[in-house]
Amino acid sequence: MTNMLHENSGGIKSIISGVGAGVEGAYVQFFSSTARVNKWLWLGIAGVQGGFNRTVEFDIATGPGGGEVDDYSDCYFFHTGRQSQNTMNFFWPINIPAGSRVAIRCKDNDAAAIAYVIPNVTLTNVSMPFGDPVSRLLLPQKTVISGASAGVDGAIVEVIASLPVKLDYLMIHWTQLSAVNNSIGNWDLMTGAAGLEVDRLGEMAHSRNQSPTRKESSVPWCGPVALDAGERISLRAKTDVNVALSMLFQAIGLEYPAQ
Amino acid sequence: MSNYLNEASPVVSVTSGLAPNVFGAFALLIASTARTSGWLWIFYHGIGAFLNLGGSQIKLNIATGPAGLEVVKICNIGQSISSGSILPGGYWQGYSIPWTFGAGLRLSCQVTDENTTFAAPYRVKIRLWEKPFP
Repeated sequence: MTNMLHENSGGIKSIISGVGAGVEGAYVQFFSSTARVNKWLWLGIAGVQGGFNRTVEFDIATGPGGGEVDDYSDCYFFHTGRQSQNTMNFFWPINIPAGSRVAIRCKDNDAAAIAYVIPNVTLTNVSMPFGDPVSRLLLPQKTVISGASAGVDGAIVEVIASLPVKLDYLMIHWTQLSAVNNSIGNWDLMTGAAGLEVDRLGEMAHSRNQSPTRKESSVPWCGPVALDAGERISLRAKTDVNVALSMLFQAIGLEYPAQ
Repeated sequence: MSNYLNEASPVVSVTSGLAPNVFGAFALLIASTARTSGWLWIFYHGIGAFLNLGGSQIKLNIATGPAGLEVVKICNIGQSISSGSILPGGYWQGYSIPWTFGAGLRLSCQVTDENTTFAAPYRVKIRLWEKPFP
C-alpha cells in the first residue's frame, strides 16, 4: 500500500478577480515548491462579499512567478452572493511533480475586484483507485467540536478504534450544527493511538454561512486514501471564530483490489 | 505541463421544463469529446430569485447522441433546495463521477425541478479527465 503523504498550502488565502468582468486577477502562490509527486488535490473555495449571481472561474497553475502555466483552467464556481457560504469543494485528480510552485487566480462576471477565500489546498501522493470496490464500510457518525478560540483545534474524536478492512477511498459529508454565521476552518483526519494521533490528511477546508435559525446543508468530500486495516481513525476541527462549533461527520470507506 | 489531460465544457445555460418534474430541452455541453475519459466532474446550479420554492428537488441528465436523438447516460443527478433558501442567487452542487465516455461523443444535458411551472434557469459545466490516472 502506498504510504499516504500530504502537504497543505496552509492558512486562509484570498484570490481576487481582476477589475472588469472576465478579467483575470493576479496569481496567488499556494505552494512555493511541492515536496513530492502529487496525484490528488482537495481545494475548498467560498465567497466572502455581497453581490449576487457571481460566476467565478479559477485557474490552478504551476510554474515560476510570471511564468505560470494553467494545469486546470476555468474551474467553475458560483457565488450566491451571501456574505460567505458553504465551501465549494473540488476533489480532483492532479499530477504535478515534486518541486512545483502552485498558484491560483480567478476571474468573475463582476466589474469590481472581488475576493474569494480558499481556506486550504491539500495535495496527496495517493491516486484514485481503479476497479470495483470489494468492500464498503459505513463508519460511525460522530460530532466533532472545534476549539473555542479561532485557529485552535478542538478535541480529537475517535471515529473507529480499528478499521476492519483497508480503505482506498473515503467519502465524508458533514454539516455544522451550531448557530453561528460565516465561519471558515479546517478539519483533520488522524490516525494513531489515543494521545499519539498524527494527521493523515490535514487541514481540509470547510466554511459555513447560514442564518443561525436555519439548518445547513451537508457538504460532501471524497478522495483516495491509504488507510490500513487495524488503524484507529479520528477527527478534529478548528474554525476562525471564537466559539466552539459542533459539526456532524459521517464517512463511508471503500476498499479496492490491489492496484 | 505534466497534468492529466482533460477537457471542459463552457458554462452552459439550460432551462427546466414548463411543468413540474418535466425535463427541459437538451443543451449542448461538448460537441465532440477529444478523448476517452474516465472521470467526470459536474457542477450545476440555479440562478435568479425564483428560488423561493418552499423546497424543491432538481435533477440533471447527461446524454450522448446527436441533437434530437439524445440518449440519457447519467440520469437524475439530484440536489435539493430547502424552504429556507429564499435569497436570490441560486444553489449549487458539484459531483465527481467515475464514468467512461469515448472520444468523439456529443454530450448534452437537461434539467427538471419539481416546483416551477416556467422554464427556470440553470447553469452547468462539466470537465472530463483522461483514463486512467497513472
